[in-house]
Amino acid sequence: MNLTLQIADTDVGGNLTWKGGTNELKLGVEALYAFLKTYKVQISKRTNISNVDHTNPEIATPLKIMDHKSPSPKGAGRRTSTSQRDVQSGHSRIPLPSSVSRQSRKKRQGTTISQESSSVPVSTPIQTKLTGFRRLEALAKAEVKCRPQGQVQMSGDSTNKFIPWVEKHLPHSADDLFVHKKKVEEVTHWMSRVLQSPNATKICVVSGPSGSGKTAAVSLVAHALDAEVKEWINPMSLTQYKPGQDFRDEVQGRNQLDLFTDFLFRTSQYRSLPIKGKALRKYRVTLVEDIPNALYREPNTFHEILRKYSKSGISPLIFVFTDTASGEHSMFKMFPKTLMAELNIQNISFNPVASSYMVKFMLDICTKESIPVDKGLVEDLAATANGDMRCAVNNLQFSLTKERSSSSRKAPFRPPANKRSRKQAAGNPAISEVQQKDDTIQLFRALGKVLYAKRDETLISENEMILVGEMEKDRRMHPLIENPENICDKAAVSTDTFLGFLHQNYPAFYGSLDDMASAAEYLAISDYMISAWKFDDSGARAYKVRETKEQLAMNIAVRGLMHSNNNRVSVGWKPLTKPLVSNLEKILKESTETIRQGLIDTPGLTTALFTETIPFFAKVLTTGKPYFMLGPELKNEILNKGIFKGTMTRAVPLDEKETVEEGSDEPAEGDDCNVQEELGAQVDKPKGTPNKWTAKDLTGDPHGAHTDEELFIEEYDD
Amino acid sequence: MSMWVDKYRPRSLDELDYHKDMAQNLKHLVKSPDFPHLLVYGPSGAGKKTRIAAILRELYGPGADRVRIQRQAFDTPSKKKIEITTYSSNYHIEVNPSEVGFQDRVVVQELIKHVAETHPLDQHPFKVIVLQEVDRLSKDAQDALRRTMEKYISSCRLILCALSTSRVTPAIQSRCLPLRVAAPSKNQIVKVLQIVSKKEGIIMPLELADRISDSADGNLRRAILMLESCRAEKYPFVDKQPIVEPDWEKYLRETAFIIVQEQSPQRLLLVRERLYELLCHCIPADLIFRGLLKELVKNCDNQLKAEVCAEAARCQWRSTRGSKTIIHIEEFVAKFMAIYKRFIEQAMMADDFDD
Repeated sequence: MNLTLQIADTDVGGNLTWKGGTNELKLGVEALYAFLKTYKVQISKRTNISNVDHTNPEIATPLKIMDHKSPSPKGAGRRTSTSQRDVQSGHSRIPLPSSVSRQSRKKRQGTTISQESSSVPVSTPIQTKLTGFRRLEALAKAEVKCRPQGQVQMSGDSTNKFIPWVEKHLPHSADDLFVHKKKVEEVTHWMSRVLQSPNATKICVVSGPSGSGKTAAVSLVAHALDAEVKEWINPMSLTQYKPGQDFRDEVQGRNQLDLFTDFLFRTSQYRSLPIKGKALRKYRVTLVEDIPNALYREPNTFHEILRKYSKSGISPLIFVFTDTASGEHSMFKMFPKTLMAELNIQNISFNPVASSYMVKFMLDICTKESIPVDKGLVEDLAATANGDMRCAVNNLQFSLTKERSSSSRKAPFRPPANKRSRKQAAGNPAISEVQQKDDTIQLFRALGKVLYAKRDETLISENEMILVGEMEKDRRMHPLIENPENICDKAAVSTDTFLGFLHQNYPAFYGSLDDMASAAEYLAISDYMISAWKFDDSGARAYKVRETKEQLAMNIAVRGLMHSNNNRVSVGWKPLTKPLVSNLEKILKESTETIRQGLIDTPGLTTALFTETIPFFAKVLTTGKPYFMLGPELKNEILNKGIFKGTMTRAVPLDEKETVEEGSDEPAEGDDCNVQEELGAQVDKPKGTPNKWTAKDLTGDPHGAHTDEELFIEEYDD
Repeated sequence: MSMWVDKYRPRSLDELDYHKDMAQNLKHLVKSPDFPHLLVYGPSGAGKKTRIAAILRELYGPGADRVRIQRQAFDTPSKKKIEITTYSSNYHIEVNPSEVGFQDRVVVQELIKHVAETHPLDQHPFKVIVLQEVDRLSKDAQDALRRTMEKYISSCRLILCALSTSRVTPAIQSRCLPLRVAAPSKNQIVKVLQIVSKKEGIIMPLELADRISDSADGNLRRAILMLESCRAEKYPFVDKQPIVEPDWEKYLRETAFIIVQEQSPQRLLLVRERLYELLCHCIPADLIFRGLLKELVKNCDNQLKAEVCAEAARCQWRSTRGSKTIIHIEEFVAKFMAIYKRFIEQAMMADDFDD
């Protein structure tokens, strides 16, 4: 937020009147300094305050206020840069009235109903005549009060560095947009169709990974079609907490859910009030980016709302849904296939931004900022961002800013990019941490990393050489290529699942029995770790503790497996299979249920039932003397449990993927991470489903053959 | 129609075939105004449940026999729903809390609270809650049980059923009247078998009864089941009538044989498949451990035996606390293979040296 302080009056004790836009505040000099210090404000042009020319009230002393915590509003950048230049060239100028900039913001962002209602009227001058601490307190309050109006422009000589370029260089037209043309067309097509024909499907879900330009595309298209975008913003994020205030008043005593439903139907029915200076749009589009949290827990309620909306809603409703690695907020759950079909909901799924688009966009930004930039750097940034434009631009800004400000011009650092350069960067973890997007490794890759446990044969691990005597058997000559810690951190699965997969698949990679025994022990310890705690600290209070312990368990398993594999079998591609454990639980549950229903006379259900009663029962049944009256289902179940014939469980190869939709969206370079993500998604999904009776080998399967190659590249090309 | 085990199960304390002294004592106990909590323990197939049912009948009359089966749901503190099957009459409720795994604490607490809140019908001063397999309760649940036991003593009594007292906390033991149901002796088993065959109208040679009771190893349920399946297999009985045994035991023995036969990673995979098979047939892990160990140590010398047993103990203990039993059984097999292989190699080297 940016304020201009204007010295209007220096009467008693050098009191200042602060005129920030429409806010006025009177305070003492020392208090002002203290305030500025508290809020980490730098004073850019320090005139000796007592010597200011008071005769001309028009001349202001601009102070640069940098507030790192609250980034400037969208669209603030442009104006700021002009005002800076003015300052730099020695002109002092009066800040723009806040209303102007505010308006400009509205134009850009589209109207947000909720925002309008929340802007706090602060037109009355705040006057304080307090002392010491209380004065500061008042100041802090005043500061908070003007924040909603934070459209007051900031000025200062180098502020532009701290306005996120992400906001500043938001694409203005569809041509600027970094999303593939086809996707934009898809959105345009849908929206124009819906806007023109009232009976078409009204709901659309735009999904895709973060930073793939979903929101940008939607709002640009809407503007191009002369539609007003009304965005839902969760009400809690807008209300300001005041001490002693009853929260219920603030949200009118209603819960988010009601507000949300209300919002949907009202925005759909009424247009916004004609406010002067704002162009009235022909159509309205409702945009929902954050679905209220309560609805994640009750998808059914959400579905009901959607059903209602599809019947009575008027304007198109667009959900922007970010795909996340964790399945908790899954699209799957909120928009199940059946519902999509029922309500005829359109799904437009965005892909991660292709790196060539990213490079182009970032270079454009650099040109606009007139900062010379190395194309290699931009390319590397694009590669590391994993198709996340926001992340890439942030990184770009960060690295450029840093480079400029650092006094000692050491080698300009380059972020680790693809696999090849990542290896070099491993020597400097600090850089890779800063630069790389905090990405997750999907299950499939993580498994590969642990199971193959590749070691760098060219290096000799010095730490291991210290081991002597008893420990000598634990010495490994070459260091691991992958850091186990890293795998644990990034694997996007729960310890439990991961452990299941590891256990299922590790034997194929082991050549010696001793190694296997030690690996098995590590797995067992890991399993013991995660489960044992459940007994010890039940209840919510122990959640945090449990989390740590789960991490530990994961670490033990991963490290143990990587360490134990001393005599690796000749590495080659190995099919990975789904763990049978989860399947097993299901089988057990089902059969106990059937038998329980059938054998009511047998009191209680104890282990003896399965080890004694059922096997003998089955024996009697097989003799074919049907002196029992049993339902066929129960009879089958008993025979199944009691008699051993054939195998009930089978290892099923991971059904790697269905056809991956990429095609024209991916230009020449094509990121393989995309493919990998698809793999991971497929792996996660079928967990609960019963295994099919598939042959063990993948040879006949065309997909399998394809994956074969894929994995091979993944694991061996470095 | 039911199997002989259920068909000829004694219904009242008077009908019990052995431990008659205890039956008399129980009768007095039921008549006395002060009925304590009971902890009934003893090996599998000794007749614990039969005695509990008889006590209930003695307490409440035939009404206790009319049992209905119900699913009851409870909420955990973290709002997760857990379901458990209960067998209840108007006077008592029977449940096996270990069915819900580590959430058993909730079941124990909520169930008792639920039952104890309402007073029993008729003139009976209390209801009875029968908890099965108390020795498999988690520590949490046992602690919870201790508190609830005291709190609701005015309106309900507990009858706990366990294999042994070693895994029941002393706190609970001291609050109950322990009742040990010893395994029947061989003669007692033979006698019961004779009674059953007489009632069923079949002729059973004494030699067969002896062999069955030998192989039943003090487990009466098993003995009667064996008798019945023998009868189904071949009747009239012949000399050297084969005794039927459960498939899984045979399968487990074969698995042990496979382990001893060859030790290699591939073999371990094969064993894993068989272990899954066993688990799929609802065979509990500790029985698998026990069965494997029993067979495997037959191939070891004394020093090795100690080592193998230690490994088995360690793995089995972990498996009781872990969630994926297969991992632990497999660990044991892998450990055994490694140990055994080393042993064989050393023996061979020693042989070479001798030559």
